[in-house]
Amino acid sequence: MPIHRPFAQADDIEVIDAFRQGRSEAAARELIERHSPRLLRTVARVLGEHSGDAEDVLQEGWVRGLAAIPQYRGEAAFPTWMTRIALRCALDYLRRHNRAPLLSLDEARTVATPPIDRELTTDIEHALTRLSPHARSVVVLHDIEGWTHAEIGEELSIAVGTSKAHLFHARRKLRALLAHERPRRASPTEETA
Amino acid sequence: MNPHDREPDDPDLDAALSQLSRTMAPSEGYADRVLGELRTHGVTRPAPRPARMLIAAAWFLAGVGTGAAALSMMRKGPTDVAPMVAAAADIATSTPGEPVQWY
Repeated sequence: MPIHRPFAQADDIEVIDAFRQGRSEAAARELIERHSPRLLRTVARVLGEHSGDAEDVLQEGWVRGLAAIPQYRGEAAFPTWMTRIALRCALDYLRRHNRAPLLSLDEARTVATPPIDRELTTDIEHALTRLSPHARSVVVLHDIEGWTHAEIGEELSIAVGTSKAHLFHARRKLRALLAHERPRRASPTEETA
Repeated sequence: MNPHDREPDDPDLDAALSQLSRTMAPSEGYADRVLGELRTHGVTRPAPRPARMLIAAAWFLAGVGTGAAALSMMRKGPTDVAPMVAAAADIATSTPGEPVQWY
């Protein structure tokens, strides 16, 4: 049976107002259905190789976010506000599990990489998982989500210069990782010969 | 100038990053799962269901009916109730086969 979505035509502010008034499940469902696909992708990227837990992490983000709706003043767009909360949940998760240690470029080169999808985007997704959580977060937020260094610095509690440095090193590492992968893709017959 | 202020140009990397998908479909029933968690944490209020509303309405009507009956009896006074109490006491104390006095 199709789920009735009474707020399907309403904008985020209207849905949020409805949620504030009655904490209605219909309003919460609308926000979840509308924004989860994008939030989930961001969380999965930040989690790197632990992206399998992205749905659970985002679920925690929804609980925190919707519980904090009374504090939402509309200064940032709702997706941006929720991205911040989901990002904090993802970083908390990585801290709790003490995961994703930073691999140096040399280490990354010596790790045997399984032959995966040959699409460039897949290579990039794979390369992103090899960055430290902070470096990965900066790349995802700056290069994919379009955040400024000031916003990233504020969110990750780091200086703007640190955010820029993270991005500088992360991009250099990404380029090196991709350069390492591309020749493998370009001449598969040489490798197998 | 801080070298980190100037990010090296790499159109290939920029182009590749811009091609990355920005969305990811959650698994089926994900919204229901999240709603369940929200309910558990008291973040949302469960929607009123028709059955619950009917039961609430029935209780309300029953309450109104009982109240009206009580008010009616109070207006008529205890003298109207006395014959019924006496009849009930007579029935309770009578022996089987003995005719019951009718009030």
